[in-house]
Amino acid sequence: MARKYYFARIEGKTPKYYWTVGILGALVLGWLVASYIRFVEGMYLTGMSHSVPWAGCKVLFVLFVGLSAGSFILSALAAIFKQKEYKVLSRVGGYVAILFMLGALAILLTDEGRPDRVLLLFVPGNINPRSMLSLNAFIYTSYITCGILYLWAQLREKEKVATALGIVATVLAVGVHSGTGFLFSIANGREAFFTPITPIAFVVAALSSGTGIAMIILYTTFKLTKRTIDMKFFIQLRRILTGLIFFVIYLMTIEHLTHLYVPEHQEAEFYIFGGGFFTWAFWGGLIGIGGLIPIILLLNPATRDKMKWILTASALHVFGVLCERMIIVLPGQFLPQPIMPGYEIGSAFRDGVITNYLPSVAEWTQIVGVIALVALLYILGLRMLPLLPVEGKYIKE
Amino acid sequence: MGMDRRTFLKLGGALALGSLITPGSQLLLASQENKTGNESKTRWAMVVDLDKCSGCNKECEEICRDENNVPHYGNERYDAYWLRVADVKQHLPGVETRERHIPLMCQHCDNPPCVHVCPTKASFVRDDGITLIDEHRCIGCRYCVIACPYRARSLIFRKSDKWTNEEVPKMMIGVVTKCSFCAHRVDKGQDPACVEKCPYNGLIFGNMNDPNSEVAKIIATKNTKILRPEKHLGPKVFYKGL
Amino acid sequence: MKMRAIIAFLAFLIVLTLPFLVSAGSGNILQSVQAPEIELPDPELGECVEDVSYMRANHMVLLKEERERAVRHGERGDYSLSNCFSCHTNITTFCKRCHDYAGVKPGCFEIEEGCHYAPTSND
Ligand code: SF4
Ligand code: SF4
Repeated sequence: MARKYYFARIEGKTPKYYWTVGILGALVLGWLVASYIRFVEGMYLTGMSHSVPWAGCKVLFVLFVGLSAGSFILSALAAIFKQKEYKVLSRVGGYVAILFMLGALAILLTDEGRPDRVLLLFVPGNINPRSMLSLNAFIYTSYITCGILYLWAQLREKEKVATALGIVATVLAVGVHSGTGFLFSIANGREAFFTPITPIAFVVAALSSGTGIAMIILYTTFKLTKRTIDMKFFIQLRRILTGLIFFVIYLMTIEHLTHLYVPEHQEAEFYIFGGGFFTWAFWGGLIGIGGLIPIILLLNPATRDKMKWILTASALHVFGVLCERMIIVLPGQFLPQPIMPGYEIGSAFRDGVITNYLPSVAEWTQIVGVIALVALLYILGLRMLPLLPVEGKYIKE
Repeated sequence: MGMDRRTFLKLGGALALGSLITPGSQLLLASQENKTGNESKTRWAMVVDLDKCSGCNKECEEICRDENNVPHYGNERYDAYWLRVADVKQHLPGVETRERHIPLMCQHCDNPPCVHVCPTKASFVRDDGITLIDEHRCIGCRYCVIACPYRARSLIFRKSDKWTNEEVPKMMIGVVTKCSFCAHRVDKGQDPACVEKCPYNGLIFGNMNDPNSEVAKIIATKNTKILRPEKHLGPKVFYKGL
Repeated sequence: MKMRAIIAFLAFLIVLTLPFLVSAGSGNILQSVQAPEIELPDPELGECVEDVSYMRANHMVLLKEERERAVRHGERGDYSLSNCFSCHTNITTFCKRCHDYAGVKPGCFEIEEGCHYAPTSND
C-alpha cells in the first residue's frame, strides 16, 4: 500500500492574510525607497566608514545565505536519500531556500555603491577568476537556477529529475556557503578575518541554523493553517540539530584557540574577548543563548520532546548564529590595521583608532525590508503553489 | 544610469550565458594574469624622505585634494583621502620619544590584494606598475577596501561638486578611489603633484627599473624601508629614514 | 476569470509600451520629425580625426575605445574628449541637439550628471 503526502495551496482569503500581506508589502516598499535614496544621495546615509565598509547589511547577507543553504540541504535529503519523512519538507524547504537566497542577493545588491552596474559582473572580459566575489556571482546564480528547477521538479512529482537536481544543488549549496566564507577568510588585509577554518564553520553553522529555521517555519505555518504534524519528524530533526550545535561550538573554539596562540593574531582576539560588545556577543550570544541553552533544552528529557521547547531551542540557536556572523564580519574591521607595528599612529583618516559602527535608519529599513520581502514572497507562494502537505502525517491510500 | 539600450542587451545576453556556463575555464586562465612584469621597462616608484618631512601643515594632503578633486566634506567618518600624513611615535626605552610624520598613500603593490579581489577588474595594474581604478567599471562593492592592508582606499560616500582641476574628471559617487600616482601627469612626463609641490622636497618620484634614476640610486643604498614587509606585496613606495 | 485575464493582458501591454507612450505624451516624437541642425566648428580648424559620416555613426565607439586605452593602458591619443572639445567648443549646440533628438544621454559630461568637463555656451 503506497503511502504519500498530498500537497495543496492554502486558501489565503482571510482578512488576517491580507493584513499580513499589506504590512509586509509596506516594509518591502520601505526597503526599495531606502535603497533608492541611499543610491542617489550616497552612502553617507549609512553608518559605514572607510574602516568599516562592510556592515549590517553584509551580516544579514551572510546569515541569509546560511539559512538558504541549510534549508535546501534538508529539503534535498528526502530526494537524495529517499527519506520518506522528509518529504514534508521537500517543497517548502526548497522554496524557502530559494527565497532566502533571493533575499541575500537583494540585500547584497542594494548594499553596493553602484547597484546599477551590477551586470558588469557578468561581462566575460570583466570576470576576475582570482576574486572570490566574482566567482560567487556565478555560484549564486547557478544555485538559484538549480534551486528553481529542483522546485519545479518537485511540484511536478518528477522524482528522478528532482533527485539529480537535488544532488547538483546540494553541491552548489555547499559551494555557495564555502564561497561566502572564503570572501572573509582570504582577506589578507584584516588580521581577524584571515583563517582557513571560516568556510567550514560557515557551512556547519549554515546547516544548523537552516535546520532551526526550517523547523520554525514549518511548525508555524502548520499551526497557522491548522494542519496536523507528525512529532516523529521533528524529533529526528532535533537529533540532527543537537549534533550540529556541538559541531559549531567545537569549530569556533578551535578557531579562537588557534588565533590566541599566535602573537600575530592575539591583538584581534584580545579585542574580541577583552570586554565590550563582542565579548557579550560571543559568550552570551553564541555560546550561551545559541549553544548551551539549546543543547540543554534539546537533551533534557523533561523538555526535549515538547514542541514548544524544541522551537525555542531552534530560535535561540538561529539568534546565536546571527551573533556568530556578527563576530565574523564586524570586529575584523573595527580593529585598526597595523600599518606600522610598534609605533603609535594617528591621522585625520583615523589610522590607529578602533572604529565604531552603528547601523543607521537607512540600513535598518533595508534590513527589515529584506526580511519582510522573504516573508512576503513566502506567504504569497503558499497561496500560489501547492507547497504544503494536506496532512502532516502519511495518508493511507 | 549611464547605460544605453545596446549595452543593456549585451549585458543581459552575457548574464544569461554567464549564469549557465560557470566559468571554470576562466579559473584555469587565472594564474598569472595580474602579475606586473618586472621585465617591463618602466616601474614607477616613490621615495619618501622622512628626515625632510616636517609635517608642515600637511600641505600635501591639500595639494593632492586640489589636483585630483578629492572631496572633503569635513566629516571624519566619510572624508576621502588619497594621501594623508600620519603622526607616529615610537616609545623605546632610553630614547627620547619624538613625533614624526609619515605620508601614507597607495603603495602601488606589485602583488596587490585589491586587484586580486576586485570582481569586475575595475582595479588593475598598468604595465608600468601603477595600480589604478577604472571608475567606469567599479560597482562599489568595497571588497578592495577590506583587502588593502594599507588602508589606501576610500569610497566616495557623497556627491561632490569639488572640481578644482578640470583636466581631471570629477569624482563619481558610490565608487572607490585611491592615489593614482597622478597617472594623468605621469603620462605627460610630469611628476605627481605632491612630489612637485612639497615645500621641503621630501618626495622623489622616478622609474626604479632605470639604474640612473634618483629613485633607483636611493633604493640601491638600502637605506629605505617598505611598510608591512611581512605581507610580501612588493609595495613601490619606499620610506627613507624610518 | 476571462475578464481578469484580459485586464491583466492590457496592463502588461501598457507596461511594455510605457517608454513609447511617455515620449509620445511629452510630444518629442511629433516635434522633431526633422533631423536637428547642429553648429559645425570653423572649417579652418582642419579635418576631424575621421571622416564626418564615420564619426556620425561611430564616435561613441571611438570614445569608448579611447577611454579603455587611456584609463587602462595610459595611452592618451587623439580620440579623447578633450581633443574633441578643442574644435567643438560648445556642446549645447553640437552634441546635445542630436542627442536630444535621438533620445540618448551623453553620460560623460558634467551637465548630464557625468564627471568630465565639457564646454557649454555659458563659457
Ligand atoms: S596599497 Fe592597497 S590599494 Fe594600493 S596597490 Fe597595495 S593593496 Fe592596492
Ligand atoms: S569597490 Fe570597485 S574597485 Fe573595489 S573591488 Fe569592488 S568593483 Fe573593484
